[in-house]
Amino acid sequence: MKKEKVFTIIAVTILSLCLTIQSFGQELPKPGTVINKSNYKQYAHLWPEEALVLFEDGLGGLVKPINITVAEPKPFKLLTKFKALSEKNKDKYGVDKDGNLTGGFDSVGQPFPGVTPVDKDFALKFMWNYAFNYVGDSEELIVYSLLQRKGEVVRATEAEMPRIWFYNRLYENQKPTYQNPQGLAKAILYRIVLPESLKNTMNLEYRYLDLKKGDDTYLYLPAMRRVMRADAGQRSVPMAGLIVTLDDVNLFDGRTAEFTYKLVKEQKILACFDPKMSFDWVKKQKLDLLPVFDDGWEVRDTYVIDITPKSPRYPQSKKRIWIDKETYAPYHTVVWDRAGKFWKYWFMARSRAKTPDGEIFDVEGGMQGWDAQFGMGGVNFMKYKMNTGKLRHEDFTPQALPKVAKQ
Amino acid sequence: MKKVFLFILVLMVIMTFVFTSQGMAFEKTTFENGSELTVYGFLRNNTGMFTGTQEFAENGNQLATVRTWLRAYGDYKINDQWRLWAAVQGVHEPTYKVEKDAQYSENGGPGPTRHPRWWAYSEFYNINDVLREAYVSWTPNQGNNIRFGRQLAIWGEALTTRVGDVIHPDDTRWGFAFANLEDTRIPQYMIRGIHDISSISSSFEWIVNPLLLQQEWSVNRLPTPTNLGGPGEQRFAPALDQRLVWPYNIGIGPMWPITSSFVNIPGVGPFPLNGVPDVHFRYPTGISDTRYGAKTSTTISGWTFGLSYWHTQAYTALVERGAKHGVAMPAGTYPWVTADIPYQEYTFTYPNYDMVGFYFNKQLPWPGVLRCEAVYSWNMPFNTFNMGPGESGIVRRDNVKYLVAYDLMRYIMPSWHTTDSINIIFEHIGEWTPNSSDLQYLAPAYGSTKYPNYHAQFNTRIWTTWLYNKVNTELVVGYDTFGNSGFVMPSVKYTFPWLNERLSAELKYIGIYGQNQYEGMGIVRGKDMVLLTTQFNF
Repeated sequence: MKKEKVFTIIAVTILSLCLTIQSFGQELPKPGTVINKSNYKQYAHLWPEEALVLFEDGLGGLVKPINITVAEPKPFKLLTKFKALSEKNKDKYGVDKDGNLTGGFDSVGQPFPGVTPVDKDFALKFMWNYAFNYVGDSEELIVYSLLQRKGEVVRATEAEMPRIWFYNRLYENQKPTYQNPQGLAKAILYRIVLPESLKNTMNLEYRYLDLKKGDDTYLYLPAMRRVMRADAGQRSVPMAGLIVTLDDVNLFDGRTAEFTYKLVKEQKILACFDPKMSFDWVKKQKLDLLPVFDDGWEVRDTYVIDITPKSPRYPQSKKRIWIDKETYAPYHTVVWDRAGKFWKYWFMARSRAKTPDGEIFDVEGGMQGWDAQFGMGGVNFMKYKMNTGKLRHEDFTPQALPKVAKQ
Repeated sequence: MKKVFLFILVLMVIMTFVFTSQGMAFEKTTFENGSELTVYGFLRNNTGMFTGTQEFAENGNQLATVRTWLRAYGDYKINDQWRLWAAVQGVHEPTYKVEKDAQYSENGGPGPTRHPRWWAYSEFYNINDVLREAYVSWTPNQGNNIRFGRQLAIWGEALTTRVGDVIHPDDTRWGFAFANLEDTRIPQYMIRGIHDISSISSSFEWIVNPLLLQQEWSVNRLPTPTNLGGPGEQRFAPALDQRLVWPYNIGIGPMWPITSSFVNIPGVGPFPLNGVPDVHFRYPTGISDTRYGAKTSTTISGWTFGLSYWHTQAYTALVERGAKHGVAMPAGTYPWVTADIPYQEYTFTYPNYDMVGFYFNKQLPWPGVLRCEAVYSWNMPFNTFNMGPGESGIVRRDNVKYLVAYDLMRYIMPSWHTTDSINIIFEHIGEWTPNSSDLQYLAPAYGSTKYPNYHAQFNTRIWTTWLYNKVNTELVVGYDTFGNSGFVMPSVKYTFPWLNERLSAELKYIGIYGQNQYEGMGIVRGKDMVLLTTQFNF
């Protein structure tokens, strides 16, 4: 009897210790906690490993080693209207061996609502949901970017980036689908305003509702006052001197069926929300180093997914992304080159937007990262108006580009 | 005048530097009434040296150019319907000693535009050089826009030459890759409407150009072909064709069509055969010469395509022979003058003609984009060798010019070059004139050269940037079967990181080759140069 008692006590003690040791290693910071070089290792489990250099040496000296402040988490959910649209798709669609959607998906809602890791195709289906997540009906967006090569001054670029989605529209005219003669799913126009040497250089990108149809990309060259077409197949070429590529927009904007996906793990992560450092404030600053989004960090539950391109020509051999389990918002991404070496790291600063019917959803607020191999960092600030109803299909045609350039 | 202009230009340059280095002065300004003003532009200097001795210089001087230009664009948005736009520039070049004593100092058409100053070729202070564009834009509603005023309208798909880009004449002082194609075009006064037809993803554009500019600016502005070896000539003048090929015309000076006025008498010089030229100039002018046309553009299922029509005049003069009159040289003036020699009318003229065009571009099912266009004229004017009595020497023939191009942009990104793609453009341009056996090529200058029945150009451009846009490298190579001629232009450009990358410097070599100096690019062979371009953007 005595032996049994002793054995039980020992077993419980060992079990408790195991649980306790694990919780020591997985401590969550309380709101108000400041994480910096002195204590970041305690919370290293809440970051991609490649991001920890932010605390150690500030991305190799591109920023000051950061101090971030943890905020009270204010989680939110998918919009009610959007969730209702998606619920109608439950168990209607599937995926084939090539990663394509099957069953005649009509681009309304997410194709796989409520998919869980129990599903054998979870990662692929989750990414199809990511591709068809609600991000807005239209956006009039201005992006202000600061870039710095190691050892050089901080320089600025500014671009207007109106975007329009022709599917999953909830508020503007023609919903949920904006019929257009080109069968577009979305169009993004990127027009450089600064630096002056690139002023009015534009990139117009099309994605189609027909998921088998490739993207189209048009370039406007102001010196020639001509619209040209770029090869749309390669979306991983940096845009106009930036570290960002088309596929890096919103951390991942690749064509879903052109990649394979693997769920690596589920992870709690620190993500940045509503940072105080604003677009208007940063435009007035003279900076020696890149600023960092250092407040508004909240703990979020994410799926960590590895994205591997099917094309051997794709410059990135792998991208790992941390995506919110509930809202599909991306928070961090790490990129490796073709040789498998670590190449780039990005994190997003999210913002909260309000819909006309008063619901809160999160949108891109900014992006920060670096090209570790080249030694160049960048931070984007975004300012925009959502769902104004002013943007039309005609504003996103190759014929419109000279008019946008006012040439 | 040149000193005053230079003073004003220097003052504007200093003001530009002072304001923009502070990063503040030329940001968009919004006024209380909601209107907005945006001003931007560049200050640029081209300094070039010919790499070979220029025969006409006679002194080893190889300075090609020291051209400084300040270009400013102003966009004033009054409200959502009305907008004003202007592009102004100030350009300065010093006088060039190599041009001293040039016989013809003007740049532009012949005759009335000639200035009695040998340095006039490098002057840019005519109002038409200063005020490039100035127009009012009216947008009555979304989808419709009309512009009134002096402006540029760029049609066509070709990038290395002009096929469907037919709206504007050229100012060749901006050739030689000193500038972009935009800079070589002479903006015209026009009314231009662009209308969206969204239901079919299309637009319709129309242009009416009533030729309100000074006459010389409504046609190509060309240097006079140079007599190599003569005392002083314009620096970029093409070589004169001096072949002694009977029965074509021979002599020194402007060349005339066959059976025209001169024959060369050894020891004497050119002698009027049929009549002493009485030269006139007839520029396009007035309602009857109004240029007009229209273009469509449709983007659907990945195709972009359209049709065009343009009614215009030849932008390079042709020589029209007219009637004889009077007595220029009475019989007996010389022993061999046995009868009165009359005056023969010759008119430099720019005849009307029409053309239709078609173009498209498409992303291919494999990497790359295909671009094509074709322009056909059924009444293109030419000078002819085959001229009977009483005929004017101008005939009209069919002419087709086409482009087939392949672009591979933003695709090649090797693992050793990850900050940008390597971009390639390949253009093949062909020109076919079916009935060309008796046609002259550029008659006022190259009267002995036949217009080719068909010739093809092959132009390639390869470029990329390094270190995230810090360094640009480019190579442009062109070959034309006409004269086995072409060009090679490698360049490297460095953008300085300070001043937010406003300042850049580019070094370019322009090499021109040709089997002779009267066909294709060979007309400017020997003008190889090294060019340094520094530019400050604001």
